[in-house]
Amino acid sequence: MDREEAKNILQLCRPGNDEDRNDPLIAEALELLNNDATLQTWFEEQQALDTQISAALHHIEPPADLKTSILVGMRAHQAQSELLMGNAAEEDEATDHSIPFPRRANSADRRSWFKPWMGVAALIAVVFAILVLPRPDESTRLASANQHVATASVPNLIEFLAQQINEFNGSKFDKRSEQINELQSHLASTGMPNPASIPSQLGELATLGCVTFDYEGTKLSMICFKNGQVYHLITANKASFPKDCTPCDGQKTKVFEAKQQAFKIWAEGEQVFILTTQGTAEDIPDFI
Amino acid sequence: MTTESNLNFEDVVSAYYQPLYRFGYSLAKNEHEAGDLAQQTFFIYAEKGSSLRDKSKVKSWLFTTLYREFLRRRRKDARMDSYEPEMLESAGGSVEPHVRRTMDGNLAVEALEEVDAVYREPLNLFYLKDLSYKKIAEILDVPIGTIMSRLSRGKAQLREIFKRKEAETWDNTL
Repeated sequence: MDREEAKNILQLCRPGNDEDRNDPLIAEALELLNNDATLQTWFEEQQALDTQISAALHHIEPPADLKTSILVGMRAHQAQSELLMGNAAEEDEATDHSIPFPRRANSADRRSWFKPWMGVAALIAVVFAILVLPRPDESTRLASANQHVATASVPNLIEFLAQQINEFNGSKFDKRSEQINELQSHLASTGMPNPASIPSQLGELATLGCVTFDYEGTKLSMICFKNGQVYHLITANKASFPKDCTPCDGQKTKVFEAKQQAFKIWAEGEQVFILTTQGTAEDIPDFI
Repeated sequence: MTTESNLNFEDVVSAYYQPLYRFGYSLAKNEHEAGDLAQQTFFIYAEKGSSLRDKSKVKSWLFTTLYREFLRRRRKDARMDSYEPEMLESAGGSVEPHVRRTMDGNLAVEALEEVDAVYREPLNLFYLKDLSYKKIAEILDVPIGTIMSRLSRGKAQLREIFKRKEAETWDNTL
């Protein structure tokens, strides 16, 4: 091992770390220090710097309540797990403050009488699913406003919007601004659909920008909001909006999912609005 | 051999919440996210740690889990990046001023911030002292030789940055 090789290896040796010093490769390099004063000087400089940096990192203190917060969270989780399993009373390890691993619903220590019925029930469910239930196209789901999920084809307009959003990036904004007023002024000045009303909770979020689309003659404007996740509010005039996208009689909203995007549609006055975000219907916040 | 029945969760939390928080902080540069990453790591441990039968692997398992959770979140953030690059920068950006004030050696921490990202992660784990270079290789899922090389180059880069910062600090005090 020459000096350069030794330097590379000695850099792995931290001050006061026995595990490092006992590593065979590092131990061999450390041996060279006895006969090489230059290497020894270099190593001492390294160790001094390492000590300084390591001490600095150890000055980062966690919040005082972090440990308590972790333990309380885990106890709550454990309590919920036991409640779901329905066998909390049978747990015998709850005599001290230690937290065992929450047990899973399919844990091997479930009550033995329960197992056969679970198997039979599962079998019936599988057979029922195969023989009786229709098979939806997974890429196209329609959920009504009352959360009943039905199957239907996703309208072409929604497919178009999902494609546009997936391919979208910040450089495509017609106008960028964090102020919704500026975006609305811009839309108004260009004659594109301008939302007459914005759900109050959505209106409180900062905006990213706006862009407009033309889908077979239907003009659409999209304003993008940020709140940890990006939300888009799309506005169109009801008169030109495809009927297969609008909520049916008796429904306030209509929800579609396409290309990993969820779309919630509702009408108000002469306008139709679509709130969309990445994910499923459950990811659309209750802004409306 | 240790099994789930005699792993005391509270002991594990007591032993590792501080180094995990520090590692989380070094990745996220954000107190709140560091705390959240540590909490989420223990949550995952409670959920899945039962499959971990060798107690000696708990430490590296926790660090690996925290690192993967951090990457998962960053991938999610990256999807937002196409809309607004500055959002991602602010999500994992600079050291928080109030944290910086509490650190005696903030020069070293700031210097670490300037090291190329590819070297920064192994260097942070290295200086946290809790893990050998072999364990660091496991956590970051790279060969040992690569870790050795990254630590060596990263330290060389860190040394240069540190010297420059020291000189700047000295100039400013004159």
